[in-house]
Amino acid sequence: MKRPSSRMTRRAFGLLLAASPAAVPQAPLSKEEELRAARERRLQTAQTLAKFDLPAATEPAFTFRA
Amino acid sequence: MPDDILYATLAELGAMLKQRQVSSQELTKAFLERLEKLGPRYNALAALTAPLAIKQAKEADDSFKRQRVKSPLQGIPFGAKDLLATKGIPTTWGAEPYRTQVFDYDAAVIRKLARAGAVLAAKLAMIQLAGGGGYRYPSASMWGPCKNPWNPGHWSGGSSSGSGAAVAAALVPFAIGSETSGSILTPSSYCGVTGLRPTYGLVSRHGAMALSWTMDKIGPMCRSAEDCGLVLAAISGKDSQDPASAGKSFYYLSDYGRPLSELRIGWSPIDFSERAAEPARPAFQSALEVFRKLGPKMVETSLPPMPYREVTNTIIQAEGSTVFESLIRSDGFDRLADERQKAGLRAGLEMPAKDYLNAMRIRRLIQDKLRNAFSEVDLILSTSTTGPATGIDQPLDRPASSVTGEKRGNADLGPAGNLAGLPAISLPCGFSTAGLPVGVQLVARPFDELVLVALGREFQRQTDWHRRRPPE
Repeated sequence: MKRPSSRMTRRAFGLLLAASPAAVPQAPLSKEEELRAARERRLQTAQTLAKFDLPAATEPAFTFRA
Repeated sequence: MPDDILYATLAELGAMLKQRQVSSQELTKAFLERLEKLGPRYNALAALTAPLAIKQAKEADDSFKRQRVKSPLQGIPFGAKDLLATKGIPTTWGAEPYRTQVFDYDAAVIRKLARAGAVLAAKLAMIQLAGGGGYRYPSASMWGPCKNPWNPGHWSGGSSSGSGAAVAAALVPFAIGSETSGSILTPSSYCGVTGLRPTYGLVSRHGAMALSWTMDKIGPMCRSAEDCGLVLAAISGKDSQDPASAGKSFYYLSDYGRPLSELRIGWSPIDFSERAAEPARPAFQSALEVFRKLGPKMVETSLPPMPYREVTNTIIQAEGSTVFESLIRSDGFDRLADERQKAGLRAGLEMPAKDYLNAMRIRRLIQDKLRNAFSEVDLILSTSTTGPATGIDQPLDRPASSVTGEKRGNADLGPAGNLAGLPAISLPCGFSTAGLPVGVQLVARPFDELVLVALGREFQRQTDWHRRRPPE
């Protein structure tokens, strides 16, 4: 069986570039969509940090002194 | 005023002023004219402070006549990022809702520079609220996007945008910027100037807009490492009005007193190759060679894998949204530019306390790990930014996740260094293939700014990138 060529044609490369996110201008998000996205980012960050193995005895990096 | 004077270092200007080759009033007038003419071209100017500048320049000249020299900065004009309170002069924080805000006192840094005899010529543009909330576009400022003097189609970087552009274009001989996470080093790299982020607590934050109480640092942006040392000496020191003041001062020494060959510099090859933007790689790699030839021991080092970016983002969001809570809940909030930034500030108010506290707990572990890393090396060297300035209309793509895996190098040195309160210097190291400046950064142990200045000075003795001038 003939092996498919690994070379990309210029047409295919052009289509690939056109399809890449950088080539597609994004429509601005509405205020509500931006807030939803911001909340989502905050939640994702929190979920990432929640997976961190934090020893129970670790105190926050600030010190109160009387 | 000849270009050689406009682009002179502080040491050179100081000598000219002492020898009365030029007067402070002449120098100040020349820079005020440049600020007025060119500041708006780059959107770098918040306000000229001409009446104050002229008064301070005259006082400086009177002192020179009596052969009284208070400091190396006497008589030299400077610009201050517009988050530093200046008595009776608007301090807008770069944000439309604060356009007419005026304080009746000076920030500690402004007072110290006045005491040193420096001349406040201008308040400089910045990203609104120093970027709190996370902005998408360079236009997140009441003055619009700050343009890069090397190519006005590109951004100057932020949030100390005007400070970077003003020094690069010789609108002022030096400027004061601030950094919570990246805001001195980024514009320094993009604009081809030398910027120094001091250790947290070395420079008083009194009178500076807070974005993050535990991460804000105020520092110099200048034409050379030596200049950064001279300015830092003037602005550092104990201040009882800043609860985070470390109670330490910085003393600039022209002689480091230790051979550079005794220094150990940590670095990661991937930062200078795959991780660096291709158009900037030759400049970064040449800089690496200069450091090698200076003689220190180069030690391959990678930061330990930790969630640096996530911790940074959580802390800045929690503290920043709390700082600005009354603004966020006010009618004036919608007058801010940049919808992503506004959404980030709003979302920050919803953060549960445990998220912030756990981020601060991880921060303690990060500090411990960095302390261990600095037992093996004296400095860490990396790129200040991965590449040159982005386009003026280009959305800013800031990765929210920390870099993990074998190929992480020191990609997260920015957030890591800021979380641990470590000092850093950005040194211009050349240009991208498109002619835009880039910089390398050195990070040191707490309160070891002298080694940053000393190594930066040696690097700048071997190179002339800090002497280059943008087209006018």
